[in-house]
Amino acid sequence: MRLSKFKLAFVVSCIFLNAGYACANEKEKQAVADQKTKLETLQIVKDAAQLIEDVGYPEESRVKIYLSHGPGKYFGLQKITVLIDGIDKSEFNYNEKQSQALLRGGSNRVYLGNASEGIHELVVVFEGGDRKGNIIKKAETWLFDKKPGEYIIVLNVVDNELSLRPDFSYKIIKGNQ
Amino acid sequence: MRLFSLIVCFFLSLTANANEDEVSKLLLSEIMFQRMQDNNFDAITHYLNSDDKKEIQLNENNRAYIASIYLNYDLHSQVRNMLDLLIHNKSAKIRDMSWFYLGKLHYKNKRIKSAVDTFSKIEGKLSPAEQEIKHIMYGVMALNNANYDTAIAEFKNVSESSVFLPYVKYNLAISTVKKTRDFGQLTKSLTALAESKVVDNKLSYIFSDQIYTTLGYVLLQDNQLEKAKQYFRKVTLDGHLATRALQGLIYTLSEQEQYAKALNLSLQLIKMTIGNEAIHHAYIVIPYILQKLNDTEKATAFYQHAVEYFSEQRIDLKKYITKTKKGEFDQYLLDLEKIINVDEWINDEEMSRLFRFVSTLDEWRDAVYKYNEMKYLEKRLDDSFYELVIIEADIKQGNRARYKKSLEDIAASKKKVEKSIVWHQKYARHFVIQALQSQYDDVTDYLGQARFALAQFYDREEQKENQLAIDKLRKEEQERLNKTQVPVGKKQK
Repeated sequence: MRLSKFKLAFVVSCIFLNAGYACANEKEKQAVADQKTKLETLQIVKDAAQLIEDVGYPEESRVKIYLSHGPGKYFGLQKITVLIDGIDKSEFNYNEKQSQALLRGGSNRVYLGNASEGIHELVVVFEGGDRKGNIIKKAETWLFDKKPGEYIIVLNVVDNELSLRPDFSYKIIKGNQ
Repeated sequence: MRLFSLIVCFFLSLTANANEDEVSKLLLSEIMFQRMQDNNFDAITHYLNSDDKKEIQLNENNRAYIASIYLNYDLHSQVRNMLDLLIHNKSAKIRDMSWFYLGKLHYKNKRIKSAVDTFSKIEGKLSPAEQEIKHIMYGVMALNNANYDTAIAEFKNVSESSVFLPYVKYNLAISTVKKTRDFGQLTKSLTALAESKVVDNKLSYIFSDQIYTTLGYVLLQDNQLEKAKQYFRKVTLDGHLATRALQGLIYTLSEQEQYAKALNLSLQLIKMTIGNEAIHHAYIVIPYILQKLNDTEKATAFYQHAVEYFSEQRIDLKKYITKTKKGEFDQYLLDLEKIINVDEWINDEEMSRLFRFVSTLDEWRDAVYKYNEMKYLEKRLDDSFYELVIIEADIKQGNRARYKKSLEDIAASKKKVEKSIVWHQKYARHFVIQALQSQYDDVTDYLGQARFALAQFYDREEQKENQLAIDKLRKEEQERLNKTQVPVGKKQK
């Protein structure tokens, strides 16, 4: 039996269409596999981070310090330095995107470390600028009495509408009971 | 005494709840901090970590926010899981917000019908920002489906204060001309848009160039040649539409019979390093203009030059195809950093040609994005591996099993990631080769045109020479005849 030209063209086009379909199908399969891999990786990286935190910073002595920034009318933070007992130091420089994220309500963990039970000195140096472009550098010192268990401290930078300057404060939100 | 203890316990539990609430808010704001830097990976791991430790309490709004992070990270099953809980919520506002995100998810997956169905389930009013996005998505979907009336209506619903207004107006003008074929109206709309301050000041040059180039061609078609020139000249010289705009300007000048200027520009155009359609075309246009300027000799020489140029291009393209097949260009074509900083290496002619060829392909961009996403996962797995190795000595017996499992999980996941990387690499390469092959076919076409024009030219020249020779022969014959002819009235001896 001989195929007519039309039939031959039809068969050939079907072969190519099927090849295209197979390609699309393969892409779909890969997309499903990728989603699964992404989810798995997220879980694995999270588990590893938890383990590292549990081993390196046991809950009994763990101290986490976060930075929270108000709308930043009078101050834009560019750098923060955290120092515990004058030894344990952590620094963070903020790029434009990070500064904006802070001003829009984001909080950043600026310190993760260990502290024994008892009184500790926390020194924080805030560096940045005001609206006129003046450089502002302010160091604050606070003392905290560490009890057993995880400590979470929040450093707040808020606008003071009376003095038209920033106010710096700290608050222990976990571990002060 | 018992009553006193109960009261103390009650107040203590209140304090604990207050603290838990503060911690939850803080952790959410930390997730926001990551999300606002487009760092979806860390935003999700922070969320998963806090969720594991039950430190985070999600209300409906926060749940929708987390769903939006999953949506941005293309983890659609997670988005569905989170939103499925919300679409049955008692509050109509929460339900609507969930339908909105779900609609967006379908839209992102190009499931247009499902997106429309989902959006139609929204009962009340969305927030102005969500409403605006919905109109734009509906408009684009309608435009893609050639449903121009709906597209026009949707685009008209977007408020004048929208940040997307220039894009909306552009799409509105395109939808209108597709419906009415009224190019006069299109000219008016695009001119108004091109003249608005927002195009000059706030838009990226990529979009403003698109407006100016489209408008230039529309005006050229409408025979408003002076105005067309004005807009072609506004296009950024190092932008992606520069050659198209120059080509438009050359057409316009030719229409105005300003051949010398058109020639000058064409010669500039072919000097641009980026080899594309406009430049190929210029190689055919230049000898045509030279003929118009009656410079036949140069025209012939340029046709010859064009034949050589296209022949070289064909050889180069074959070379690129082979190199791409061997993976020699992968370091450039799959590296997102390189693509973002394209201007730093685009001076390399070979690379620039290749990049320009493929960068317009959606499929290629998609493959590169996915490839880089997988590369990032690979990096994160490696980082976790090394961080774990560093703490190995500190691992106590209680955590040994966790440690071992973590390392095993990393190794297993890395295999999958590597497999995916290879897949996307091959897929991206496939599109590059396809694009190069298409360029090769185009250049072959141009080579044929140049050869044909040259042959015609030689043919005409040969005909002319033949004609001259024939004329000369005829003249000589005539003269000979004149000499041999006996004058009337004289007798031959």
